[in-house]
Amino acid sequence: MKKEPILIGRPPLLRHTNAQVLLKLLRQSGPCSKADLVRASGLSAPTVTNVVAHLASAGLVELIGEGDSTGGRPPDILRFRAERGCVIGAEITSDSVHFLLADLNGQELGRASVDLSLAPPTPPNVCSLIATEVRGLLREHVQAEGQLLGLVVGIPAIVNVNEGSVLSFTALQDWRAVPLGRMLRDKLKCPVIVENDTNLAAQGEYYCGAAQKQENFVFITIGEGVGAGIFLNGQIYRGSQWSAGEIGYLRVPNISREKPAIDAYGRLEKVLGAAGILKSWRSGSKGNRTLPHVNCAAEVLDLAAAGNARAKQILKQRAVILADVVLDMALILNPSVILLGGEVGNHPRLLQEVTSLLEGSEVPVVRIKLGALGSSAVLWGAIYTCLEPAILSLIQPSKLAS
Amino acid sequence: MARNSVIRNTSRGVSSRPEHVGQNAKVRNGYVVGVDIGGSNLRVGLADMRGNVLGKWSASTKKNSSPAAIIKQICEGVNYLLHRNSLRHDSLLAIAAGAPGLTNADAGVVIATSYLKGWRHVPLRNLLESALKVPASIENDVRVAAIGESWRGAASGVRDFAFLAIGTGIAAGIFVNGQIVHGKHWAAGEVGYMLVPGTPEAAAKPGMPGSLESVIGGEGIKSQWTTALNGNRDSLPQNLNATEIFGYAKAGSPLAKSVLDRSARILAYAVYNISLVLNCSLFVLGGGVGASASLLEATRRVLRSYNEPVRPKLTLSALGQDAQLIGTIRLALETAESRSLHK
Repeated sequence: MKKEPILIGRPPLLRHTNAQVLLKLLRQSGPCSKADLVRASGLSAPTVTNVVAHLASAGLVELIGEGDSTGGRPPDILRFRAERGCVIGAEITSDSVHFLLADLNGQELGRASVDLSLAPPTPPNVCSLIATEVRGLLREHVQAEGQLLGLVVGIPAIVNVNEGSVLSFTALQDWRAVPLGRMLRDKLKCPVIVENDTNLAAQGEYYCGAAQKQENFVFITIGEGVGAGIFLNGQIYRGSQWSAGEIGYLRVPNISREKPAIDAYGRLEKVLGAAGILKSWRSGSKGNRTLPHVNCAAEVLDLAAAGNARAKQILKQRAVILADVVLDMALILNPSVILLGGEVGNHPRLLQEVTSLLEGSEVPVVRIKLGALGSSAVLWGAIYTCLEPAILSLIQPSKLAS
Repeated sequence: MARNSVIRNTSRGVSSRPEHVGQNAKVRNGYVVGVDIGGSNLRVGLADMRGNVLGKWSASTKKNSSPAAIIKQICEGVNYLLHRNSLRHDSLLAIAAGAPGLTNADAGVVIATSYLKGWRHVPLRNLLESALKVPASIENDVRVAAIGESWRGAASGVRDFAFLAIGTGIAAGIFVNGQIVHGKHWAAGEVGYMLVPGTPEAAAKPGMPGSLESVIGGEGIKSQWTTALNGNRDSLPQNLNATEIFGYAKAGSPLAKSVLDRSARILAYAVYNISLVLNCSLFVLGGGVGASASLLEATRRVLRSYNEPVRPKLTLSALGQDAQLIGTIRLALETAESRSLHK
């Protein structure tokens, strides 16, 4: 049904496309010879030589000496120079910003976190904090040559990804229509992508987590808020106004009716989210000295797993609601798997409870699993979504599209 | 750009151009057929390569119509339409059919349907191709209706929308980024089983109507009516269908209005939930129950009263009963074009 575009073989485009192919091979297979590249790519030897020279001049490939001879001149061995540049992923939450620095192979070089409670978390303040931390990370972990080729910022907000602007951010005030991408680009002089955090987490699971090779899947995060990242036909799907997967407002049975403002939490996430769980726990434990003290929602779920009756009841209520959410999403999208993540969502006991509730369902039971990346899903999603464009930015022929 | 494509700088690039031109000339002069297979009706439409419908033919189907019987009816319809338009059989370039059930469009197989008895894993595409000797495609009926609305109906030019078919059952044909969504097991949009506030919460038995359709599907609305009449000394008839009930509501019957309002409340929940998940800009309502202006208005009212950030837009199907047929013609046109290029 889909029409294949006709590829027009103008030389710059050709070389660029061939360079992409060879880079991919080099990154996948590790150091190898030109002859290996010729065999694996199906390109001609002169083409490979030409493209390799181009890649070497961009600093992306180098010769690392001679390999073993099979008779005749020993072959030159090439390697991908992952240290040529680096990328940074940042995750903004309501109280902190986390960072992950990686080389062009996606190898972790360093991590950092900053506390947002020290200064009012206004957009300019947060931008300054991010810029300072990014520079610190680069100083500490990256050689002079390693250029910062991209920063991807995940934020629990509805984001216009094309413009890099944050449309509304539930957890922090004064975050409406913030041109975060432009603000950070001005400070750091590098390409910046801003994206919804759950969409990044879904992409993290797709590239290096529990959803590899899954072309249709859903990642549901339950933490401070509740949201879903939706992969359809092999791509993240963002919706007509960037709000696909904002399921915090879903109307399922067992949820009370309150009307939220746009920048308030939706009723579903008020109950299902971490704060709702803590609230239920604490409202029941008032004046009841026998109930243990908890610091976070996950501890309530731990108590449920350990057999505490009150915690079990709280867990059960949440599982019933989550099962309805999972069922509705499965019916609408028919994904191959639904992954659960986030502080609450990542709890094995919740998964167990929801799975057993769905077993009695009439619909072909959708596979539900925990995400594999835990609290790093957003950061890895950030790194992996910008690796490819970062590398290609070094060899982009000028005016490719003209 | 095509995946894994390595462009080679050879002179052979687009050398097959003369053949393409020849093919296209043939494509322009040919005709295609679209078929809408329903539980009680079979409709066949003949169109030229611009999609102009030249003629329609229909026949009735039975719940126990076998695949062979349906194929025979289709051939009859195709031959009739070709003959009436004085066309030779070899001017027919492709056929596409919409089937009322779980359909694997890639394999060309109807996996299961509750509307035609005994249809399990029917290789409908192969059956059509060997009966008519032209390339064939098949697709789920609600998805072809969505394709129809996207091509020439209420969703023309809209990249993200859902076509909601409400008849005996309820299902959605979903477009995102201009592409139809099938899901992993061809079951995307089976929203008849959705759970929203006010629907039965116990799981439906296999083969029984889903939670949502048991309330606002055709039978669901009928039984809402029967329940509402019970103990109510209203002089209205017992046995009404959804359209008639909504008609009485419009005429001022409070009882009918209560059924309409309840149906609208439930439909609004479903529309709202789907719109949260998909953030699609438009919902097109179709099907025997869904294509009701009264239901549309009542549902819009409920959605407005939510006063929430997400405001799904609702509209009625522009193609009505023809949505499926027009969609299959579109699919047949694509089939004719893609297969003739790959010959």
